Amino acid sequence: MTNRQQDLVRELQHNEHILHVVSAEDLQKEYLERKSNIKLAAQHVNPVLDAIKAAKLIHEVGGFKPSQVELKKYGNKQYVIFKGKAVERRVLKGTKYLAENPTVVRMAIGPKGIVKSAKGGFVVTAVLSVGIEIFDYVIRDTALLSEMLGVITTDLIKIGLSSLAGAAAGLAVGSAAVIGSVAAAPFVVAIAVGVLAGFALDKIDQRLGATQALIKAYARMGIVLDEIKYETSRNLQYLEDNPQLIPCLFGPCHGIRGY
Amino acid sequence: MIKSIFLIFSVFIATVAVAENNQSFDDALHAFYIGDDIKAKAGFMLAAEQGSIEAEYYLGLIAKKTDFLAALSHFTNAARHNHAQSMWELGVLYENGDGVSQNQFIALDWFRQSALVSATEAPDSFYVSDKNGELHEVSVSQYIEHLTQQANSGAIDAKFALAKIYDAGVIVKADLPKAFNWYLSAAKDGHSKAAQMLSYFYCRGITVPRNIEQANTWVKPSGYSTYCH
Repeated sequence: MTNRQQDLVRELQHNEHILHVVSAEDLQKEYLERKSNIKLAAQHVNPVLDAIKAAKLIHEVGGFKPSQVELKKYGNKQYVIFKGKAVERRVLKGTKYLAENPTVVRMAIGPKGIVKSAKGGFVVTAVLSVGIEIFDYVIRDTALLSEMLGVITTDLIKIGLSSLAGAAAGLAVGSAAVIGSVAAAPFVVAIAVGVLAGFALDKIDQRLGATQALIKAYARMGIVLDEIKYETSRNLQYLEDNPQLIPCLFGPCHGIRGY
Repeated sequence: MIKSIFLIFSVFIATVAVAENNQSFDDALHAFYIGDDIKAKAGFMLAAEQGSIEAEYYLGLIAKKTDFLAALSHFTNAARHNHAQSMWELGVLYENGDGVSQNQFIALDWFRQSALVSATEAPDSFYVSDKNGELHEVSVSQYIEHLTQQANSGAIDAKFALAKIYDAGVIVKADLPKAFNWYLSAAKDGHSKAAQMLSYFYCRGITVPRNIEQANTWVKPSGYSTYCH
């Protein structure tokens, strides 16, 4: 890997957002079990949580101080979705009720995101301690994503990630298979779906290859990594000020060299 | 000469108006994403009055926080113009029974319609891990073969995944009878989502003759509450 590629990987990792989805029911059972109230956990728990209680449970179960917790109802079940600490790359570790092997879905957002955010792209990792079919709901939920990821989500919506997500969610299976997806220009979206043993998030890059898929996508689009000065915002700023030049990122452009 | 000047002037005015509308929409979008719903709503309402379908969708999202009926109205307006995300949101409203009577069959109608119009792109790289956990890129046919082997050996997730692949027709041509069979197999093994799809196929008569009794038989294993009528 060249220095540029390593820089890109580091930058993407730095801009990673981890969304963890657990069912409200399992979170409560997990909490009760850890409090050694096993009998109670095995019995009935309140099917409906409020945001404050959910945040409290996430803190007590995982040691997190989640800045954002969303409660969502999909179908007949309530889910707790929280933004994990991307820098620490931690998620809730399951025991009995939280899945031991959660499904991990990663999306690396390329040039479009880079231009818009002037940060160098970003990665969204969804950790699903629930069925993979819930991913469809999460990734298509514009309101949820805007709450959890902020302004940057505009890019997610514009690139039509939902449609790609639909394909990805339908393909996830078992611990032996992984898929990657790279959308056609002008957008680069890499999706990897898989099930990992344990929570080795640090190894996801190697195992699921989202970052590598992104780099491959850059190459496919004819963008030479060495020519992308993503670590400095100067060129990005220039593009933001001159958005008509954005198509030049994706092919020959009269009067423009490089980049 | 006067006509030409008038025409140029009209085009200029129209261009300026479009640019202003776009700016107004972008401002509203920004307001939406930073959580300023009041400003966002004002901007989207203006854009919706001028025919923006996207604005209707965002008005629906804002309304959804406080007023499901208003959300239903906005999403329905946008869905009439084939707005895929609005169709998805309508599905969610029906699935949750928000602002409407809960009906998971109608919800699925909308989810499937949304998928149909959203022109889902197929992934273009597939990986399968070997016994040592090493990843290998495989072709679509190899991937399907891998899934089929897993499914035939009883892996319930593989059965469901195959069913969805044949149902969606994204990475291979849609094959609803195959989809139905894999849903059936997964549902028999206790996959609740597969049971839901099976119930839906029977209720809507997709690839099998409509069979209300069979549809309702699979409602309970699906964990849902809507019955087929």
